[in-house]
Amino acid sequence: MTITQTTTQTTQVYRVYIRAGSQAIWDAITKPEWTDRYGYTGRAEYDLRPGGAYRVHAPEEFKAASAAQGFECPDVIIDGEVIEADPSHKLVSTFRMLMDPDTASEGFTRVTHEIKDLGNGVCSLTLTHELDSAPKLAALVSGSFEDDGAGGGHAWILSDLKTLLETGTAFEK
Amino acid sequence: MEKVFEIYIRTTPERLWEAITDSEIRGKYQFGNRISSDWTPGGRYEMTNPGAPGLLGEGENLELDPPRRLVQTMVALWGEDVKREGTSRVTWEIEVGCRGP
Repeated sequence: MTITQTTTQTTQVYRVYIRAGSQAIWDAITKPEWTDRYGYTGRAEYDLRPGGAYRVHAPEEFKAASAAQGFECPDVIIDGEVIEADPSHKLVSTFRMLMDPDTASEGFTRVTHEIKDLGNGVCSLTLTHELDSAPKLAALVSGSFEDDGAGGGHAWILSDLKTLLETGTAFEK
Repeated sequence: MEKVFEIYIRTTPERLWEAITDSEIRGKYQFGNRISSDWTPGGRYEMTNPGAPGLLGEGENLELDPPRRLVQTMVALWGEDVKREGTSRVTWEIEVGCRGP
């Protein structure tokens, strides 16, 4: 049960070991009724074929919080395109963060999820985020703005995913 | 070279500190290894396993600030190859709370 974080500017790698089946982990990553239960709780939509669309919709509390701070949160906060989808094993997609103009202007990055069934009821989940030319997003997803209320990035999301699948409840219920 | 591992756990700092420093608990998740130390600054610790002869590792507790921070040196002793690599350094940092935005 370890999150591996290799902190380089351009590629970040996170790994977590989860006592769950590969199908359950795949569903938790790709289905909106799961993605709205952990991490930043945005509902993800994947068209799981090469070239298919990937979108994450802003949770209502994001919109409310943004409005309170005087700016408008877009309905789609992440967009991208599926490059490769091998159910229960591997998902590669592009990823652009649209929450604020700075990260939006950095353009598309690339996220790979890999699930390995270790055969004892435990799977490893490895997330690789290639962040070339996206320093602002790199800082955000590494949790650098945690103290400013931006959450703990990928390490936090994966920890919450693990907790949800293993215990049935996420950090924030 | 530095490697950073970060995980968020639904627990308390005290419980987490115990899980790192208590030999019984440690044994439940780290290959059955036992850790013994008086947990004082400058004090030594030893890592053993009931299934292996001799020490698996040893080191010094450089900094102790329960339940927040533990800095240790580490010498791996389970094989000639790792022994030759000498002393490395392990820092455990426990921080409370992370909420989403």
